[in-house]
Parts: sequence; structure tokens; C-alpha cells
Amino acid sequence: MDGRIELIDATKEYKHAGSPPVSALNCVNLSIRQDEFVGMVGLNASGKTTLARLLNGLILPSRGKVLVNGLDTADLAQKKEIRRLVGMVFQNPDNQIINPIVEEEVAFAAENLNLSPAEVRRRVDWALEVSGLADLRHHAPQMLSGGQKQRLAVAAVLVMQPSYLVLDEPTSMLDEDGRYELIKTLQDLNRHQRLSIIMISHRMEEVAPAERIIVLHQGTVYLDGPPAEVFRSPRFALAGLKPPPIARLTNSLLRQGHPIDDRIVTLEQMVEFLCR
Amino acid sequence: MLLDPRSKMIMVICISSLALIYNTPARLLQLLLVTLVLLFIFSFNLRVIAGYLKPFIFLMFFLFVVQSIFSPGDRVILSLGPVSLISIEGVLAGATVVLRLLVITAAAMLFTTFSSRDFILGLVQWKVPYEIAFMVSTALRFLPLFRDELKNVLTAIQLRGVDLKKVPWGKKMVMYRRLTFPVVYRNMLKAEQLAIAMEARAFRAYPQRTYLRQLNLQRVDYVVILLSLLVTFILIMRYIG
Repeated sequence: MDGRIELIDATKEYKHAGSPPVSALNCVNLSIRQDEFVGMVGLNASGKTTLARLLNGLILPSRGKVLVNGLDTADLAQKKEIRRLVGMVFQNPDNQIINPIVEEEVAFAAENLNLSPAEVRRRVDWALEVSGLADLRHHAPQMLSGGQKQRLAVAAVLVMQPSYLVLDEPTSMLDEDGRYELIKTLQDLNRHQRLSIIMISHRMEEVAPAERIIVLHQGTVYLDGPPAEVFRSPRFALAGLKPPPIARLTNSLLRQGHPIDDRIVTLEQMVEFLCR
Repeated sequence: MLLDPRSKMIMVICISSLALIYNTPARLLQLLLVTLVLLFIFSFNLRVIAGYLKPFIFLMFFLFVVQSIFSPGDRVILSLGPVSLISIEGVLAGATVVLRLLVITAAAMLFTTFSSRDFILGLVQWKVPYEIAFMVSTALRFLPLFRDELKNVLTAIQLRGVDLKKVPWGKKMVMYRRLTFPVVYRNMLKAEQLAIAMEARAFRAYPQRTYLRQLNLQRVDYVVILLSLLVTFILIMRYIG
């Protein structure tokens, strides 16, 4: 099996009675490797959420194909395996939480997989540990902060041991601390658990740490590359987007001839460079 | 008292059954007192019980008045000319309906002493299909969400300059009817998002599922269940007989 998600000429149209179909995605060709950290950005209605839902077969393309490790999302027989491989976390954690206790919330997906109780217990303990929620296992989810709730949503999917984790604007309802906690958890999962992270966000500073940024514009892939390249591209502004402040600072310093590493796009990278 | 949720469910079913069968205010009042004693045993205090029943006060008053007026009776208390408005039989009928509602609502408070997860586990261990148990539990979970959404929508209206206290009743009814759509729509969106999240977590992916915890009936649970069923049976037989 190939360790990647592939979209091959994927098109998604939404039909409404009495109106022509609306194309949310148009002939998208994309390949995302297992263990990649990908940031996906774009204006509202650029097709980000539609693309996210195609990745684990929640919706099917109107034309073209979506393959997850070689498995076609249109093949019903593969649906269970695809849903296991590609976990999804949505914007509002309150709308994803089902159970009254953190531990039970995390166990929900593992129980649905009909694993042995011992295996369920092992996965729950692991997921709570890697999400930094082990001390809160007996708490009620409504008592958690926004960032903790979103990490709970991540842990609840991790028990399925996915290869890919798709997050659709997971930080939009979080405060500064919550956003920081979540991004750090995702980076740790990518680095240490080799989990592919595909994160959709409106905030450029949140996707800046990714190794690859995909810009969607009017249902097509408009830009695709390392963050520094994407943020510096003139097409980035044409897509109606602004680079994060650190990237703007780097670009500004480069234009003025200062000897700065052109790959710097995050605060941590800037601090590291300045402290050398 | 750490009773299995199933014992508490049986108690609620027994009390509710008696409430439906009893047809006099005296019997229902006795049943209400027994229910209140049970709630005290489960560490509910009067303030909590009153707070729980408070939202139903208007409904109970409304039902009492409607029953009193529209239930026929010979012993007239209030009449308008030749038309008898309220009779003693009507008042007793009204009191019966109100007390019945109070008993069932108070008994249902026992459901708040265990989690929705234990509720599902209890039903599943009683061989109720998991999907049905889950559906019932999730539906119950959405009731307070409807209330919260209605509050949000009413707040939004007031922020646009509508003083709800000054709106006449007729117009208020029209307004509430119009609000039904956004409230129901927003809750349906939440339900859809929850359904997508559940599907993404392999809900119903396999015909069987594991359970991290199991509920185990203890001796005290068996005693409570048997006693509840026996007492209910005896009381029903005596009442009917």
C-alpha cells in the first residue's frame, strides 16, 4: 500500500433544485504523504472544508478519485478502513463530545472498533498520554478549557490509530493559550508519532510551522510548497491572503538586503536565528 | 447510596406506573411524598427539587385551570348565570392532573443521579440494541440544548430593541411560532455535526462493539428492584381490587 492520500482530478459539485450546480472543488490533483504536516489555507468558500471531507470519505467526489493508501473512498467495502486511517477533528469541540467523562469520550471510537477491552484500555491510556490529558481522565468534558476540549477531540480520534489527522479550523473557537496548546500537541504528534497532520486554518501563523502549505482558491489548488516560498509568492496576495507577521518581517528584511535566512516564518525560527 | 442505574430506572418506572394508575388526589399526594422521601435519600434537598420543578409551574397552573373548568361535576363552586364554570369534581380533576405531573417529574430527577453513559450501558445490558439506547440518551441530551438555543434567540431579539415584557400575548405567540424555525434549524445543525463526528469515529462500523466498563448489580440492587416491583404490584392490585 502507498503511504499517501491522493486526489486525482477530484471535482465536487453541489446540486440545488432550480439552480445550476455549484462547483466547490474543480479538478484537484494532490498528493499528501504519510507523516507530512500540511497547512491548508484559503478564503471562505475556497473549498477547504469540502476537500477535508473528501479525504476520509465523508463525502465523495462528483468526478475523479480520492485514494487513501491506495484505497478508493468510493469503494463501500473500504469505508471502515479509510475512516480508521483518516481521523477528523472539527471546528467546535462541544459539537463533537458525546460522553460525560474524558476517559469514556476517548474510549468511544475504540469501543466502536470492537477491540478487546484490554486493547481499548491500552489505546485510551496512550491517547490520553500523548494529548497531555492523562491527569484529566476522570473530569467532565464541559469543565475543560477550549484548548483542552480540542485536545480531547484529537485524543478521541487518536485511539483509532489513524495515519492521517485532518483538522478543520480546530483553533477558531480557542483563545491564545488554547491555540498554542493545540498546535504544540499536533507538532509533537507529527514529530514523535509520525502522524500526518492536515490542518485547515484562517490564521497563517498557525500553519507557518507546517512543512508544506496548500492554498486553495475558487476550488482549485492555487499554491503548494514550503511555507517560506508560498508566503513570498506574489500569487499569495492574489488569493486574498496575507503572510503571517514573522514572514512579512523576513520578506521586508530580505528586500532591504539584510542577511537573514529566507526560510524564517515563525517566531521560534526568528528567535533561534537572532540568538545565533 | 450507590445503586446501579438500572435499579433507579426500575424505581422511576414503578413510581410513574403508579402515578398513571392512581386517579385521586389523596393517593397521588401520598405517592408524591414517598417520591420526595426517595429524593432526600438520594441527597436531593428541597431547594434543588424546587428549582427543578420551577419551570413546570406555569404548565401545572394552566393544566389545573383547564381541567377545573372543562371537567363536568354536580357540586358547583363557581357559575356564570346558568352556566357552571368550576365544580368540586373539576377542581379534584385538576389537582389529580397536577399531582400526577409532579410525581412523574420528581421521579425523573433520579435520572440525573447517573451519567448518560451509564444509562446507555444499563439499557444495553438489558439487551436493548445499542443504537436505540444511544438514540434515547442523545435525544435527552438535546432537550437542554433546545432551551439554550431558545434563550440565545430571545436574547438576540431583545438586543434589537424588543421588550418582551411589553409584547402582548397574542403577538408573543406569533413571535414564538416564528422563532421555532431558527431554534430547530440550529439544533439540527448541531445534531448533524455530532452525527458526522460520530461517523468519523466508526459509530456502527461493526455489528458488535466493546464496552470499557460493565455495570454489575449488587445485592442491594436486587433487593431494591424486587422490593420496588413487589410493592408496586401489591399497590396496583389493592387499588384495582
